[in-house]
Amino acid sequence: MTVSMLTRGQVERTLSQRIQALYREQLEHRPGKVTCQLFDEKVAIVIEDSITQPEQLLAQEGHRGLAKEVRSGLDGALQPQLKTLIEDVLGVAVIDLLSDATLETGRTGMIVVLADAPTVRTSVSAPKQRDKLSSGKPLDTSLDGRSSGQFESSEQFESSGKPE
Amino acid sequence: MNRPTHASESLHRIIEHQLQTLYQSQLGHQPSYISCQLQGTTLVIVVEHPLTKVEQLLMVYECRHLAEQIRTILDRVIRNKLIVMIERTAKIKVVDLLIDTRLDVNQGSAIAILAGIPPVVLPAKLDNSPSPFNDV
Repeated sequence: MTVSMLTRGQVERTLSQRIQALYREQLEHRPGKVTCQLFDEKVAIVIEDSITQPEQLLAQEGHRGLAKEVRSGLDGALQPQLKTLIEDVLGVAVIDLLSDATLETGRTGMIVVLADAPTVRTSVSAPKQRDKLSSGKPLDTSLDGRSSGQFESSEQFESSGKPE
Repeated sequence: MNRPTHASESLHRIIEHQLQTLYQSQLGHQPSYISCQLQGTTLVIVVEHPLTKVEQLLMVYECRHLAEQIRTILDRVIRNKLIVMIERTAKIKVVDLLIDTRLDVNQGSAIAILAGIPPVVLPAKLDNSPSPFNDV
């Protein structure tokens, strides 16, 4: 297993940035805020303004059913790349990826199930310590990070990009 | 005969530019090249790479049927707006507009049949009528 040199917050931020870049490259679409949060062997991802212009146009033209099919198709098309991206950033295998989107709000949510909890670096006082992101381990492994103060809080990466 | 005039070329450029803007604003996508030519009352438009990334991705991942359905609807939207755009720019009614996009080669084309030769390309009259291009 690859040991990450990044803190949990840095890992989450990197993941957010890579997902943003993937949307831009593959869909010609710049989403809004992308939030990634690590929970043991799972990752929760929320993408704001994730619906592309063609999908929006289909819905506006009264083809909501087709727009939903397209979204489903796009999810399937992007899934292999998303899996590779997540495995690359987290250093663990992806077992499953569940995704859903709401046309009305433009929000996409994903739950990624990992083969194991990613390893991240603790952020303060002991930079050489490595720790797995899982409960049950001693030393600063509480998920909320607040009781020990050793984890960075989950970071959200906001895109400042506006539609062109 | 219908030799290209300065006014005719200006009309082509304006329509090409407006069509680029239309693709960008409606689809979030810019084709790589748009060409427009007027022959009498027939306006011919060729669009290189009109497919959005969404359609291209669906084609790659074996969702061709979805890409085709999308393109049918997008072409309909483009067609309706293109008619309005041509009529406003060329100051002539569009009798018919045929549009087609080939997904395999990522190329599109449109033929607009005009009700007559656009007044903007007729020989200039020696009057003080305002330029028809001022409002585009």
